[in-house]
Amino acid sequence: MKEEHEESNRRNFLKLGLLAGTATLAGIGLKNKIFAEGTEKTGEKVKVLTADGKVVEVDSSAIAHPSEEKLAQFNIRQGIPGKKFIMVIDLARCANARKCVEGCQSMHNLLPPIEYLKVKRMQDTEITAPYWFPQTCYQCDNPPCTKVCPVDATFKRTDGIVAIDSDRCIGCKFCMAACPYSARTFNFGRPQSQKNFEAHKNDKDKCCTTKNATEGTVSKCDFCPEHSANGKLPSCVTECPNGTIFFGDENEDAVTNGDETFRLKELLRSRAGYRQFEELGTKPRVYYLPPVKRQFPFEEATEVHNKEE
Amino acid sequence: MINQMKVYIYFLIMCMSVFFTSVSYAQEKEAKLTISFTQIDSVNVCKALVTSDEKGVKDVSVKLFVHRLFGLLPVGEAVSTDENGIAIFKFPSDIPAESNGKLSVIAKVEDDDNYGSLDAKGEINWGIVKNLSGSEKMERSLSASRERAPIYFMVTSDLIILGIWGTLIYIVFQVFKIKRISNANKKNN
Amino acid sequence: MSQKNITSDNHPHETFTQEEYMIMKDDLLRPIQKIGLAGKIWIAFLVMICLAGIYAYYIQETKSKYVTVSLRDYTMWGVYISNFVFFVALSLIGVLMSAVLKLTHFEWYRPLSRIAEIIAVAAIMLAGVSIVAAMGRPDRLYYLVTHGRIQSPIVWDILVILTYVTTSIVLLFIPLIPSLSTCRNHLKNMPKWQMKMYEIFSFGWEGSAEQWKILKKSVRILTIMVVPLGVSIHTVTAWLFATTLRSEWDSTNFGAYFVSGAFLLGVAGMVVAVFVFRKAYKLEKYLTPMHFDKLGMALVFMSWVYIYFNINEYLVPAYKMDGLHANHLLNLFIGDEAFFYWSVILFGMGIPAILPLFPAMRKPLPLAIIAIGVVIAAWFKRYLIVIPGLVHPYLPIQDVPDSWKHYSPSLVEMTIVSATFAAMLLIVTLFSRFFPIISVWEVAEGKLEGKDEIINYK
Repeated sequence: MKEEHEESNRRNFLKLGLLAGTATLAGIGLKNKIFAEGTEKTGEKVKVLTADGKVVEVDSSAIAHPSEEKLAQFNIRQGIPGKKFIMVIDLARCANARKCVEGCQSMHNLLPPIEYLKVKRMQDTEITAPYWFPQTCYQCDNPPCTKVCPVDATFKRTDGIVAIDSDRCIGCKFCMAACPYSARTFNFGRPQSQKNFEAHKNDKDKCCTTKNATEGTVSKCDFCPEHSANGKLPSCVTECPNGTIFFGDENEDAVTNGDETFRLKELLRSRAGYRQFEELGTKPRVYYLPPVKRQFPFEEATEVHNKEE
Repeated sequence: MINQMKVYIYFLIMCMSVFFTSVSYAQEKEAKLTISFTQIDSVNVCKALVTSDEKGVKDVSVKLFVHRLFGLLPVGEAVSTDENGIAIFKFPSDIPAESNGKLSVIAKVEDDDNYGSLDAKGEINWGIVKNLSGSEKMERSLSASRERAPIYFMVTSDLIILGIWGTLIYIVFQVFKIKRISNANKKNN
Repeated sequence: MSQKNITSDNHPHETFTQEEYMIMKDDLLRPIQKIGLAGKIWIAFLVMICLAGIYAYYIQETKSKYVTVSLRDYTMWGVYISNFVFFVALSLIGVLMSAVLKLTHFEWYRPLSRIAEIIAVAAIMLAGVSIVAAMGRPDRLYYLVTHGRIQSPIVWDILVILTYVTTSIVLLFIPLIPSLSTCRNHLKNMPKWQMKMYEIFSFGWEGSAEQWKILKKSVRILTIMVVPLGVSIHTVTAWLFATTLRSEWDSTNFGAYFVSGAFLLGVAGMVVAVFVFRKAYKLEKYLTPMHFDKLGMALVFMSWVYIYFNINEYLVPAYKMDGLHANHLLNLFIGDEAFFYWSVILFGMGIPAILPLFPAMRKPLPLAIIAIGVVIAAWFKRYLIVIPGLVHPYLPIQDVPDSWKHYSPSLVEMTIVSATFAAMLLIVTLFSRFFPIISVWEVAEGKLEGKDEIINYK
């Protein structure tokens, strides 16, 4: 009798416990549902090509991962309408973490020493302080590279991006000679890099407009236009642990590093933004904020990178 | 004795369940956040109203944002609601509008002790509308694509090329004339 | 057969006497008629190098360029480009030795003009080959036509090169017509196809008054046209560098600097060619010590002009030593490239500016040695213009493997460059084996018009 009683008590206990636990969880879940944010429409319209060749405009939240779409849908010569991308790099925050470089390498399937984004140690004079200097392609407004291309393989888009059509490039490297920032890289068919491209060519969610994998062509940083078209930030912006790189649309007068958003003009004014080699007249679209009031002191690099051929 | 223990244990479990669920509920007393736009002394003003049970809630910190392509741009500092549950934000007049001509404004209460997180969204056409159609059109320049080369450039280069190649072709025809002369002489002879 | 040549003002003249004509004709047709063992070995040698070059190109295109070629991201232009500039410079020999001298009535050009023209044609063709070897995607070469941008200096260069090559070929060919008719008439025991070729290309030349008139007018127009064309071709090639923002190329001086260098190279190249043809084809009667004398003086003159442009190009920025130029200049003057740089200055400009002032140095052999030095130094000069600056870009090179920091041409690259030289020499050699290398009628015309100093000392 006693055992049966205990048995039923145990059963009851378990039932009760289960009920209580479920009630708790259900309560929390219900609360989340009531107060949660749904996937709202971003309000951005993006042009896409449907499977039967029609061009329609859909809300950008409906776009799936970029590489799931056919490459042809991203017309490389067509700028994203209404946008003018701009970047601001805060040199007071760069600590040479190189996470931006790693993110960019992974996004474009690059292996060192080939880099679209380089972090350089700069020291302007002998007695001024050194600082770390992340350098991308500046997507200049007066680009010296597009001027000299003989076949129109590199060109300036309406959204500010200087893009490269890898199917057009003849590999003369005149654009590389013309760029004063050495921003461009050539695919010489480095064996390890080519193997890497092959291995990763079907990866999802990678930037595919700059096809560095095409041997004999030039490529460079392209401000990750597939991400930007869908309201996602380029990987260098999101990977930085210090939020050094800010990215935005100049027409909206706002730049963000993923966490903080600022009015572009106010940021440049209050932090004395400048452009690299302004006097060359290339009109870069990347501004730098001087390394004043650094968030942490300058530290030399502890390891040597890119020694492997 | 054991039975009593069991009773105590059941009671404890019940209390804890009630406590936990109520804690998760208790953090949210029901509150609503709404946003409205008005003008005070011809200055654009955005009002955020926090209400709970139809009554305005005081001292809730509200932040105002404008929706941008990659994130939310904060507008001004955080403002605490007054006795009526209203937080008033002076709205700047120089924010560029989105492509539909309006500004998407978001008010947020972030992690309030009593009411948790709330947000509200509204649209207003206080943004500066830039006529972008002009900038989309690319002008002729040396940096542009081949169809948009400067006109003086194309004209000059075409003229030079035509002039020189025209002369070359003329001379080649002259050489063939030598042959024709000899043929004519042969006929005559 | 005594021909009555009627000049443009309808003045009947006698040409050479029959004996003179027969001797000249024999001398000039002999290289076509016979080829000795040395000649055959020479051609075989050149063909071998050309084949090696073709094989090297095959390797370059099929294996990874990262492995076969020493180019990297910073030194993206290498010996192919400097070789291209060298050949474009050499192709101005036609402008100088044929056109300019003719227009300025320096009559001693007459035996030299065809040599100059064939070298010019061969050089500009090989310039094109060299630049195609440098392309990353030669399979897309036709895009230059279908998608070419008129704003690009490369497209200008292609247009001017095509025009110049056509003009030079026509300018080589038209004065050749009377010579072809001589070949057709007087060569014996030649293969049928060769005789047929002479027949076709002599265009039924009979030496009638009307035909001479057409010939002379065409040659005159082309000669005038080829001068600005030749200057343009090298100016536009200079602009491939001067239109970039790189400090080592950012010079307003570049167009004239390159053209003056080309003229110097042209004179030196002419000396070497004349020396070789003289010895190989026993043409001492036509390519006389007088020619070396005059060429030596031309060498001095061109050297001083080139020195002038070099002073403007290097010493004026050195005076300022501004931050943008300092690295490059110091590298050349006292840095890694100092040995090269000063050797080039010495052999390419210093020696030809001084030594040929002495008459003993203007004799054939000494002058030929000086000229060879100038040609070699000229090739290295173009190397120094193109490559050392590339390792000093505006933003410092950091975090790269060693092969990215310096450039030294790989075996594949040097093979292809050697092959371009071999191909150029092969074209010139083969031409001289099929066509008379000296234009008899031009020499005769000069003699007739009483200009003795074509061949003889005055």
